[in-house]
Amino acid sequence: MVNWITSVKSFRWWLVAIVVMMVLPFIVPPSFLRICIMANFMAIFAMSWDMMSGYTGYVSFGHPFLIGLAGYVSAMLSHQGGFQPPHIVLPLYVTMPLGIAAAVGGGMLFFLPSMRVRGPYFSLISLAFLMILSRIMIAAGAMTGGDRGLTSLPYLVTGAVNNYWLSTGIMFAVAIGLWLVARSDVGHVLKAIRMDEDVVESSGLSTYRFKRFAFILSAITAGIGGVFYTHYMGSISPAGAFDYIFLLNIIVSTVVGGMGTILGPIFGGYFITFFTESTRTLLEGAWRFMAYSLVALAIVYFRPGGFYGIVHDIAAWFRAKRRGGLQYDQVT
Amino acid sequence: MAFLEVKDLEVYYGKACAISNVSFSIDEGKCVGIIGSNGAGKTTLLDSILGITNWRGEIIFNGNSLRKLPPREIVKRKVGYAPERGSIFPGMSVKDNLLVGAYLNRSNIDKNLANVFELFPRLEERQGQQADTLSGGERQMLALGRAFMLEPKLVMLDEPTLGLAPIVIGHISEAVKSLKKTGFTILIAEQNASFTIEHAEMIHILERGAITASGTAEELGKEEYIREAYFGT
Repeated sequence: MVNWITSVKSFRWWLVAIVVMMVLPFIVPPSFLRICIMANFMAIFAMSWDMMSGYTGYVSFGHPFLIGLAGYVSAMLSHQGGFQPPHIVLPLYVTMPLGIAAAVGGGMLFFLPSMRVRGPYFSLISLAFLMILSRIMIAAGAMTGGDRGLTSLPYLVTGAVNNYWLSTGIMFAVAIGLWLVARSDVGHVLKAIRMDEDVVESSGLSTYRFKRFAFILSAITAGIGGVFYTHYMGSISPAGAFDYIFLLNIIVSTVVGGMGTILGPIFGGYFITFFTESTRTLLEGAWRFMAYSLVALAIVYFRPGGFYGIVHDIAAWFRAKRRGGLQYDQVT
Repeated sequence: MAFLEVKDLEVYYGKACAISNVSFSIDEGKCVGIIGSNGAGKTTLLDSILGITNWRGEIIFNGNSLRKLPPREIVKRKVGYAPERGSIFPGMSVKDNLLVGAYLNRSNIDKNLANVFELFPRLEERQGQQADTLSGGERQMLALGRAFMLEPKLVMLDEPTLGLAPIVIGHISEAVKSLKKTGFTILIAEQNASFTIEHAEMIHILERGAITASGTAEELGKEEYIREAYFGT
């Protein structure tokens, strides 16, 4: 297992990625940057889903619950209309942490007990919670704006370039943080839980504690993504936050990128966002989603490890070529 | 006082009785075998000692009761467990598999890794390899190795020879011999009577959750029924 503070060598690809992202605003138009912003948020959501579902094997269909809850709490508290009554309007530096805390607290209250059941049962319970929250947000119209949601929310920063810097910074901070956790001893146990939870238990480890840790980390990440996304968009509504296409995009981004890898969901998030945006003028509505579903299916069918697996294989091939032949210990 | 003492152990899964009135003990540094067919309750017995199942009766390890202790606390008291069928984490490297076993005992990782590699040199050769590319015997070695990463005082082996070729069983057998020489206390649960006889000083026959006979291999060999049912002679 690798120590928490990994060698400088293992950070070299992060540095390359950061440099590339820093150069982008100087060479591409704002419209391209706006797609990158959406891709950054999708990458954050996908990494968050990966930490819970990709690492522990508990496939959640209710992830927008965490994202939406964080977004709604921050939106309601910072909305000019405020609560009716007593018209509380708080600044973003207060509402955003409260939104993240709500994602963790709400998630622990509803989701965490569900982690005592496994497999499809957990997935269905998480989906049920998502649907319930969606209905509550519609029903509590006085506070949430009902079906139409809340609009004219305060922005954190304005303009494509500023939002690009902000979203890229958050995405990298989240990614490097989760990547370090994944490489730690705890990350290895989480991977082991996905492979065989009973064997982990027989090693004397409380799998529930590890799952709880993964869940809290996932909820914090979802909450961060949720509040920043809400205040980037300037609005939130049940149709946007709890939509099944949104959930599908998160899951597909992770699966196509490579589950249980943290890096894979970044590739996946960028791929899904750019694919749907670039085909917007070519294909209409459902056809666009059908096209991207087919592409995603093809990737998963031919390479279940997703983009991460493909990159990993190419890197292994180059390493083997440099050493003068494929080593037995490189078989994956 | 015995190193491990199991007294009047009873385990129920709902209304079904899996273990009934089981009592036995192991002295420090000795090897005890539990022989039983499929469904006799061998795994349930080992799971109970590890605190995975709810049980009635008493289990005393190293002078302390294990009642109501979670597996984490029992493992911390140096009880190592190698589950049946060479249970491993397939998508992880051999070394990472061993290190997951060391999570609760991270003070002597290098020393324990060296000990495991000395016991199973094959694992050292394969340490960077993905565990799912190992053979059946190597997987079993890995499962045993993972248990040894905790520096256990008591090692519980659940069907260590299940599904293995005779030559591989020979390797596992050599490993158990070397553990005995080192002074480990060992509890083997097996269907394979010849393997158990080779190592255990005391053998208990477990049938339908109850111990029906106990003794040394020689003593049990005198019973015609046991000879026919378990020793195949």
